[in-house]
Amino acid sequence: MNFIDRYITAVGKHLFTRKRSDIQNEIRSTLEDMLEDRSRKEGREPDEEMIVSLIKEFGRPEKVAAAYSPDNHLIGDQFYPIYLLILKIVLPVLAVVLLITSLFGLLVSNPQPDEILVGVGKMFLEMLGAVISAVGAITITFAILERIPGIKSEFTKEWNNEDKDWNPRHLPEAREAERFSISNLVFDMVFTIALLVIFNFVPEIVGITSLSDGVWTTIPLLSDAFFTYLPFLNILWGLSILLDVALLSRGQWETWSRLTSLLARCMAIAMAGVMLGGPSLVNVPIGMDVGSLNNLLEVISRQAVVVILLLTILSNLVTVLRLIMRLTGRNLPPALVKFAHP
Amino acid sequence: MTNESYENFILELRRGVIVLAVLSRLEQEQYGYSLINGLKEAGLEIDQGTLYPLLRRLESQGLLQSNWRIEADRPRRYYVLSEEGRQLLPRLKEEWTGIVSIMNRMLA
Repeated sequence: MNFIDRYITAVGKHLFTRKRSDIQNEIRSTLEDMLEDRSRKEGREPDEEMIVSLIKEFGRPEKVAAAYSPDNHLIGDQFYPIYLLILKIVLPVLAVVLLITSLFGLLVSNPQPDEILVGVGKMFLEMLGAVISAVGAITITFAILERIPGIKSEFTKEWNNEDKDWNPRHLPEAREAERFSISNLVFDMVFTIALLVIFNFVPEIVGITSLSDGVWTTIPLLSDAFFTYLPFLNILWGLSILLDVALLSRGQWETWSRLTSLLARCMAIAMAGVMLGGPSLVNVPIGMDVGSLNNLLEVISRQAVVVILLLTILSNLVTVLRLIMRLTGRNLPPALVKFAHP
Repeated sequence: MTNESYENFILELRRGVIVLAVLSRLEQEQYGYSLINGLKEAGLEIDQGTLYPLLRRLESQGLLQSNWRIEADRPRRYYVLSEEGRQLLPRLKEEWTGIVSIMNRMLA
């Protein structure tokens, strides 16, 4: 088989179209024309060296074939932004959820010290596997959507300027201050869900963990008083999650969401006040040195509540200010913006 | 600026021109290699990797039609403007003249 035949066959291997043989014939015809032209110019019969250099100029078979299928992106421009958005939401949530569930699994199994390292290693391998699977599944889904005729145009109809119904006047009002970071929001959500799960289902892990005779033991610290507040805390956390979901779907802060957030934080302030005035949130387990430890825990827990209280009040003031600014059409001073995120 | 990014700018500039150049040359029937040579003589060099896929795209868009013919013992695929292509060409030429005069004024 001569070099032209070999080259045409190699190009054909990379052509995934019904017109493969037609394209191959055309490339052959062009190569023969070029060869004839070159032979005339150089004043000698075509030889192997001339053919090889001609084919080299024509280009690698993969490259030549690729030029015939220009639209070969796995995920095209139109789907790529949604694909990225979904990855940015799913991957951190998946990683944090897996981290939390694996840590719980590890803690409740009461591992020996030497098992902890193996357990942590296994946990990270499992997380890596799950993240890779998630990326793969999302990518495959988008790659399939990309290739189903009609679906793409249906999905992306709203963004196409051809869509006559689209009207810039319907764009939601957006100013710098109304936007939020998706990663912050997702972190916020996952953190709140973790609080809900820990305090409601496995409160015993909030405690002092110690190693004695090669066995890890955890002594719960939360007092009965804490559990009387828990239903109210649950309502607050639930409200916070609902607000985060609403923000994620709306894409920006609006007056109603700011008011809801304000209400939630007022409830938090009231709760913190009650908790400060009430009995201790922690108790020292029987059998431990009660005196100094009890005092220390008491001070730490009360100071934490005070700090949270002050931050929440500050953040509430900024939100009220922002609502007023919004109504009067002015922007918040940049120095205050960082306190406004609940 | 690197040589590579300079070449990318040039490629981008030429990309829009090539379609019009090819269509204008195909008022008369031609096969691929003769088209490449004709464009080269006129001062516009296009490599085969760009031209042939472009000819197929224009054909699938209905602007060109093609047929295989045996000439000098060799099969060759000839391309020519379709009826739709003939109607489009004068409008594209007009648009091009407008762009050139705008750009000339802008760059003067």
